[in-house]
Order: sequence, then C-alpha cells, then structure tokens
Amino acid sequence: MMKLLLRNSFILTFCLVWSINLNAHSAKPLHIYSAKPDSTTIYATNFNVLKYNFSGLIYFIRNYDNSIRVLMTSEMGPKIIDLTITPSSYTVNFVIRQMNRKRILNTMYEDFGAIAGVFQTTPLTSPNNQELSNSQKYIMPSGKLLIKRTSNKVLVDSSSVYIFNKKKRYAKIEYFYENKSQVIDSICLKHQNMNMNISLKKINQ
Amino acid sequence: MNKRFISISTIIIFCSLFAKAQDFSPISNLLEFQDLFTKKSNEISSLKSNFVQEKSISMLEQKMISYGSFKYKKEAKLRMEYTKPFYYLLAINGEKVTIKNNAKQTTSSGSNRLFKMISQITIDCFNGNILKSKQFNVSVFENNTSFKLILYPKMKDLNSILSEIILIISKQTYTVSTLEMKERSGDSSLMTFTNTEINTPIDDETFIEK
Repeated sequence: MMKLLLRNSFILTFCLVWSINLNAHSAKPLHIYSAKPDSTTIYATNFNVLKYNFSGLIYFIRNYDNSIRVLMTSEMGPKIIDLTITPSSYTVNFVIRQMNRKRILNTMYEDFGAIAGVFQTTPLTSPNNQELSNSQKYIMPSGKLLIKRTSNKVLVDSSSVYIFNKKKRYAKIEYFYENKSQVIDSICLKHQNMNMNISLKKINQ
Repeated sequence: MNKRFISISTIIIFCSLFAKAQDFSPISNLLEFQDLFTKKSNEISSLKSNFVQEKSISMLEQKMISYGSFKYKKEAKLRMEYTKPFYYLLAINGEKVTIKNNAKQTTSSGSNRLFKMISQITIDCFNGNILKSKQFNVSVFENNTSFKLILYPKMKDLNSILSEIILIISKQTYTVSTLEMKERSGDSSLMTFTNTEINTPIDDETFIEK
C-alpha cells in the first residue's frame, strides 16, 4: 500500500513538473513586440542588401500610438535607416541613399513589421496542408501572407515564421531563444528571391 | 541688501570670466596652425587609447553609452574595438577593412564606400591629414588648452548624413581628445578618448584579423 502511494506520488510529481515545463516552453514568442509603451529593444545587426553590407545597432521603439519606430545606426554613430511602421503603412523618416529604393523599403517594412510584431495575426482556418495547422496568419498590405506556426514542442530552442507570396515561400525568419527561456536572443531573416539577409543579436545594456 | 547684490554680482562676473576662458575663438593664423599640426602629427607613429562613446538619439531619453579601445599605427593602420555593451571590431590595414560584430559575421566592408570613408576620416584625424582633406571645409578655433576643428562635409553622400564633425585637440599632445559627429537629424555621437599613450610599440599583427 505504502509502495503504491509512493509510486503514485512520484508519477503525479513527475507529471506536474512536466506540465509546468510544457507551459513554460510551449508558447515561444514569434516577434519582439513589447506590451510596454515607449519601450526600446536594442539588437546588434548585420544587414546584407543587394551589394551592400551594413552592420550596426537596431532600435525597436514602441510609440504610445502602438506604431513602431525602427532605427538603425552604424556602431560608430551615423544613422542608416529610420522608419515608422504601423499595420497598414510605413513612413520613411530617414534612409541613406544606397537603400532609398522602393523595393528595399517595402521589403524592410514587411520584415521589420513581422519581427517587431506590428502585424496582429489570427488563427489560420482550414489550412491546406498539415504542416500549417496550428498556425496564425496575417495578410500584409502588399498581399503577402505572414504565417506564424506555434510550436508545441517542449524545450524548443528556435522557431520559424514564414512570409509567402502567391503560395511561394518568400522569406523565412528564425527566432533563437536565450537558454530555454521566452527571451529572443537572436533572429535570422533570409529572403528566397532577393539578396537581403538580416541577422540580429540582442544587446543587454 | 546691497551686500547681497554685490556678492551675487561678483559670483556672476567670476563665472562669466571663467566661461569666457573656456570659450573657443577663431585661430589667428590658420597656415601656421596647419604646419604645426602636421609636424606634430608626423611625430606620432603609434597611439593607444580607451574611448567612451555617447550616442544621443532624439527619440530616446537615454544615451547609448559604449566603451572600447583604439589603436593607431602609421600610415594607415587602425583598430577600434568596442567591448561593452556590444562587441564590434573595425580593423583597417591599408586597403583591407575587416569588421566583426555581435551577430558573429566577418566581412570586408569594401562594399560600403560610405562607412569606409568614415573610418578613413578617423585615421586622418589622427595622422594630421584631415586638414589637407578636400572632403571638408574646416574652421579652426582655440582656447587656452585645446584646438577645436569643425569639419563641414563637402561630399554629397557624407553631407546628406553629417552636418559637421567636431574635433577637440589637446594643445599639449596634439592628439584628439574628443570626436563628435553631428547628424542632420539632430542626433550625435561623441567619442571621448582617455589614457592616451603616444609612440608605444604596437605589433603589426594587431591590425590583422584572421
């Protein structure tokens, strides 16, 4: 009887710990959106776009009106990009000449919008394939489809978000987390059909 | 009442005189300064320093403060290494420019002419070539302890970003003590150099990143 009680207690404790673990790790964030207005998140970045390479710091500043200001500076100081993004549009506050092209700016808007969590996704109903079940979607102003797949895996170290254009995968965003936590440590964004890659690494001031 | 008025007036006069002493006034003989600055800069074969960089962004209340070390060796070797709160290395060895940063990628920044130009300006500030540069209009000021150089970019690319670069140069050592880049947007970056060592040996390997 005592043995049975002990065994059952052990199983119950194990299940409880497992369930806490599962809860703690199942809902990994798929953007860096901060709920706190006027908050700033800083990442070190490497930015390859067409034939140019930039490195520096990128600031994601959440404004009181819920728009996000994305500001990139070189490490030595001068500003490279300054955009204000909302779910429906973006404003260019500043961009250096080399990056001042409509295609680059539109792509940056979608990329940074996805990373910053500007686009509020809704559950994807009747997904065409099994791979996309348990996913969230958002149709961006350009018509591209943002797909966030929620991972149910316990202790996942990374998760991915995809941007589709006419059913073809357009870009992949990978999120890597700090030591099995909810904190996004680094982000890697790769485009399939244009030479534009962004990597971000969190800076703790 | 009168006594109080006199003491307040005395303090105000004293403060304004002190402030005046710190003010910069235009240099009287620019050619003489150019010759002296070039001569003194030529005497510097190597330089080591620590630096603090304060980045002011109008959107942010807090300044972004970073720390690092700086090494320069004649003719065109530079190593700027940011260590806190992020890692960033800029190593220049003649034509070769290497960049490493927190995102763990190593690149040669030859593809980015603009930022290579900014790196070159930093070297020119230390080797005295900045006064000969055709990329800037230069105004020179002085006070008791320092020279102040204000560089106005002439080139379109640089001019679209920076309104001016301000250098404070010590009269004692003729080395740069602060370098401030002011952007057209009102943002700025101020680098303050400390613990500067002149002409101490620096191995060439320091400027080569494998």
